[in-house]
Amino acid sequence: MKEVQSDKVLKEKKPDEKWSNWGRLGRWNVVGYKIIEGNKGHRADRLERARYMLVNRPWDVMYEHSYGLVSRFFEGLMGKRLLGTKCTKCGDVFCPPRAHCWRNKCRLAETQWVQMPMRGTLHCFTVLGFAGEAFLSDLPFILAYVRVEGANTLIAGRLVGMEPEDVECDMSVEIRFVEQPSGNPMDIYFVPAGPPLARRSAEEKARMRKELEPIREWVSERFGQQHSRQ
Amino acid sequence: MRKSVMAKPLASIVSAGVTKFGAREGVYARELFVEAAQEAFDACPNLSPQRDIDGLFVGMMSESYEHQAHVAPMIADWLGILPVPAFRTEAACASSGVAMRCALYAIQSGMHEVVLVGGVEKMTNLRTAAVTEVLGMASDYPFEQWHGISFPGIFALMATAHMAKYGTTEEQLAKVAVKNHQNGTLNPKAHFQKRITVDDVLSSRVVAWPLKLYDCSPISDGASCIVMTAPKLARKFTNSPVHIVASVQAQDTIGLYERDDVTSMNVTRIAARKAYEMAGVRAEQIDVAEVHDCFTIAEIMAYEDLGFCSQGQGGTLVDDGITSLGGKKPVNTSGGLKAKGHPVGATGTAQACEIYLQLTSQAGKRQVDGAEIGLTQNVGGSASTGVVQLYRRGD
Repeated sequence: MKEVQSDKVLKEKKPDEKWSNWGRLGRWNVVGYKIIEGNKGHRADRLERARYMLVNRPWDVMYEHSYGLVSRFFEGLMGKRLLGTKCTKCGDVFCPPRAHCWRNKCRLAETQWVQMPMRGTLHCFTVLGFAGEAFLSDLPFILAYVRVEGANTLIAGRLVGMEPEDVECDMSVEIRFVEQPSGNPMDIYFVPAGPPLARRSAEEKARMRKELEPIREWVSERFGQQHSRQ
Repeated sequence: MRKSVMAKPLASIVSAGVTKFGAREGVYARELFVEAAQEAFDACPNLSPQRDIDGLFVGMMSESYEHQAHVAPMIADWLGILPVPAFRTEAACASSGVAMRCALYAIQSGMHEVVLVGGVEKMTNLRTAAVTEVLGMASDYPFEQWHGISFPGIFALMATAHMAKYGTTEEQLAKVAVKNHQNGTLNPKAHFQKRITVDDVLSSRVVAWPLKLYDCSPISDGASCIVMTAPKLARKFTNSPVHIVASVQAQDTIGLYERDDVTSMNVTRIAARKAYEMAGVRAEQIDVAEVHDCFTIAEIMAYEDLGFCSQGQGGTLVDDGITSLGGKKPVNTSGGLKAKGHPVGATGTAQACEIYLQLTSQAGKRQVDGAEIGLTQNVGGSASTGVVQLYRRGD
């Protein structure tokens, strides 16, 4: 029988010591409370007053997880190479990668790694005006779903180098890497390529700009000077 | 006008209960569920919960809100119906739509005869940014969540594609919100109890352009439930049962990034087509519908995918008032997720509760006159789960 080999760490970046306290810091403690007199009842038109106690209890986690069968994609990002996978049976190309083909006729065929071109077409986009805690200070940012040339799927990423009101579905984009990739899907971002499609009228652009202005004000009020990840 | 829909009932609804939806700070999820169940029990004096109920199905999306898993036995415990078997289903915002289907399996198999099906979510325990992250778990990890994409973001992506392809406007989106808020004022259980204008929507804060705050359903606490029986037993509990005559579920990719076209929901289209076939009903015959308007664009897409109009024409339906109360095809008379609120696990059965009220003429000021055939459409995640069900008034 073949001997089972133990795991070898090939490369490592240890998390900073500060993260080791992450779970312990707020664990289970009641760090604040309120006694409240509020409304009770199950119809807006028939409410009674009721008293209850409310507590603040911080709790959080740090994950340690692998990138599974598509780990090579993330290693590729660290080396500034955009990889996808290709089904050897039907030829579909996945970027983001899938380890097995999605078509049932291919019967979970294993895919092969391929290098993807750094070009694509913007399929759709949004300008985020609110987000999860970690991304609030980046607002407003343009999030785009791009079809990398040759791929059957779309990949998410930020679009920079363009005002939100100039972004259009179907525009061409170039894919770039951040200066220091860390093996994170956010290691790539998009910039506009080719002439603008200019489908939006001047009035529509002005309106969109006006709609987004309060976000910029909110962010600079809350976080001071605006900063971006790129 | 009498309709000739005599499809065989799969199961019957004999009672229903919903809590007030909203920021329900002073109660736990299990207490919310008790509140909903109490209403359903009170409305059905022939039902003895302890004696009759032989199964419990609960939809709930996330343990993160209350740090509480294993909720099915907990709710059975709080309802005083131990030791009946209790099941929890999770399908993001379609959790209790899927719970209803599991209950149907149970009844259709003959192993259960009277079951309680419901859903609950206690969302306001976390701050808005944290709720955004918890809900975001229903999108793809790592290819969507890591970009800071939120569910408003996912539906905004669908919206920009819909606008680019069909010319749908921000005003049309806003009109969905205005309509549903108007309906919400007629529903004492609704989270929001105030009318809004198109201008209110358009000038509210952008959450994920083109969606503004008033295009989005709120973060709500709430629970809902129905008492479901084998059709042959329905008359034992009520003189006015509502029959479920079709129930279809479909799935799509977990990530929105793997779809060819994001302007239509495959799951709704497929499930609706099969459901109409199953019940022998045409889209035109639906008297009242509760659709999954987690965001205004989702209601417009639902009109199209349910066949209420052709692809791309959803905006004109709301322009013409066709889906308003008093229009030809009233949609979301309860206020919808938009105004009634969207405690995600509770939403699927809350939609069924509204159809139950409508088809038994108990919907009060928002009653659709003579409603006989109803539809619910419940969607989970980026429309990765879709449940479409059809109901008819008991004869």
